[in-house]
Amino acid sequence: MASPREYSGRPASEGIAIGPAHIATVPEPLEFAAGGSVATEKARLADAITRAVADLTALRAHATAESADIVDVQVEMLEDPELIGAVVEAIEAGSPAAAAWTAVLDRLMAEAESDDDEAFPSRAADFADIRARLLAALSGESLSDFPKGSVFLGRDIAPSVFLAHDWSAGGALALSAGSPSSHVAMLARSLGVPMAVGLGEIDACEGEAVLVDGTRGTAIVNPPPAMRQSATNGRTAALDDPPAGPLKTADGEPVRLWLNVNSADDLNRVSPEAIAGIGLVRTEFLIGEARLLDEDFHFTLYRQLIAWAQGRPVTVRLLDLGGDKPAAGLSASGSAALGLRGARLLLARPDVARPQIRALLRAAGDGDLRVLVPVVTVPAELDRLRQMFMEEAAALGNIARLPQIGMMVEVPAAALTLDLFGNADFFSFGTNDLGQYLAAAAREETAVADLLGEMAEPILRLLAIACGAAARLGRPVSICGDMAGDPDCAQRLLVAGLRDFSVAPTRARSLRHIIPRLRADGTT
Amino acid sequence: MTMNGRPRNVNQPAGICRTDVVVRHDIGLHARPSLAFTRLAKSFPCSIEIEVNGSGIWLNAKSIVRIMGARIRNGAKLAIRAEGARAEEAIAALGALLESGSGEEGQHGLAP
Repeated sequence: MASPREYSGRPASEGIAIGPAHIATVPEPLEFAAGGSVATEKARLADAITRAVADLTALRAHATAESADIVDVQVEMLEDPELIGAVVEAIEAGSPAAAAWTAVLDRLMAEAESDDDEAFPSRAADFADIRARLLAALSGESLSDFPKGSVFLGRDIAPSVFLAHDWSAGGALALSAGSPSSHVAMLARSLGVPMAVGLGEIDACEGEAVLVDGTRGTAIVNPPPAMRQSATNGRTAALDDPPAGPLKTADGEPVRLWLNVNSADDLNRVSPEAIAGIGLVRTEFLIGEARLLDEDFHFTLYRQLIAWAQGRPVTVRLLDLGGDKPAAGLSASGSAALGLRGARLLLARPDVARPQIRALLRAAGDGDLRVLVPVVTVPAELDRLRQMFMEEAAALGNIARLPQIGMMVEVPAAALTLDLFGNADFFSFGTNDLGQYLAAAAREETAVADLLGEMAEPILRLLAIACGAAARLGRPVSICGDMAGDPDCAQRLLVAGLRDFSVAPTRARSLRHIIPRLRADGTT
Repeated sequence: MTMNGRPRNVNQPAGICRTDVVVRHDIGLHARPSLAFTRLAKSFPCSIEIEVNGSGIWLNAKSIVRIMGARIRNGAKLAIRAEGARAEEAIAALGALLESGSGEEGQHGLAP
């Protein structure tokens, strides 16, 4: 049996994975058949660009926002007037379309590689990607995928190849070149795919076992058995699915991960066994404007969520309209960040609140459904909303009990006086709004975006106060804002007393990875 | 043509509009502002070029390869010139986009 061979490079996406090697084929030096007439070659180029753009657009259909940006840039590059102009010029000078395209893209890649500034995402991989995509379109082929679960070994990987690949079975990237600031590295981090770059030439055979440690930036070909075992454990811990068992801090405090649901697709990205429950359903994102007041539509949605969760809690937030999430007909004057939004809007517009409340009451009998009230400032608002639940329950007649009604803690006044909110069944911290209100800096105002980035410290101090008050009231607390998924904040959130983190599917992986290394008692 | 009260550059040939702006976000850094910029530029029929920090090199504003390659940082001084139909409108729109930083949309849309 061959001995282990270790390669050292740079980390690009954390996590450990092991799998059979897939060696990316090195493109053969291209030989171009003599082309047709200048007119024919120009027509072939135009036709191939149309086809390549269509392929990319198809890829975009199931892309996340981040992936969609990358696809959009590649489409814009394929339609770049300068680039096409240079290729057409070469065709007019007598080159076949494929040769002209390759020459121009090779030049751009060489420029991009020599101009390597880490502050900027590397464009070289994008150029390589569209070069390969257009050549494939010219020859009528499609770009090749590789087996699921394998470790991709190559000089670099095309973003569109990464996007088209199914990573659900695991796998990793070990690149001899590449960059941690490339688009692929961004995508790998968002999907939790371990990735190491700058490893140099790797000597491996197709199918040979390769272990990639994306946290240390290393790859080991044919790793010893003991290491395989630990890598397998590492991988299980880094993925949502299958369940990794109970999550604990280094000092033994149990931590629960919950799911934030922004779209129906989020439910396909995590298995219910991997989470404690749904910590936040942003109903205004799941229900289109036309259906906001459609009680039966709400009801069907909640039934589906309850069925998916298989007995686990499902926390549905009442429509959080106004602020940066305007809805037609509801966002007239005064619904900006400091105006009529969240609970305020629901109380001012019972015609908006009541269909959803009725749907929640009807669905609550099917499972552990909980209700979260957005943008609460004073206890009376919560009382009045609870009153609406009681009225609707009485009108419906056959409601055995009200669901638990908790509140979003996202207004500083409420966070500072949480001891006064004994009428809430539970609390959930919305750190994004808390940040904008603490900074007096609107989230949609780009000119003050830097201030929002500096709100971690004020938010953490306020959370420490609020968590203390919640503990004295004996009410559960959780956190569902972006800060919940920020590994840099996890330690202090644990120290503040938080044990329940509700995050987007992509953030669950990195939390699973980091929490076992942290101590909740504040010592290191 | 004056933009933001600046006088027209006397060395510009007739028919060319020009404006100078200070960039309010990293154009070359993120995909979205670069896309927003080139897409807006392409929506105008005139030819549009930009010059970064007085380099003397004019780049096609409709080329994402050029715009990203120029690595325009927050605070960079950009000159935009346009020639042809709707040239004034084009440089006003592009100047406003760069100064407002509004190409960076969708950052805060999906959050509690």
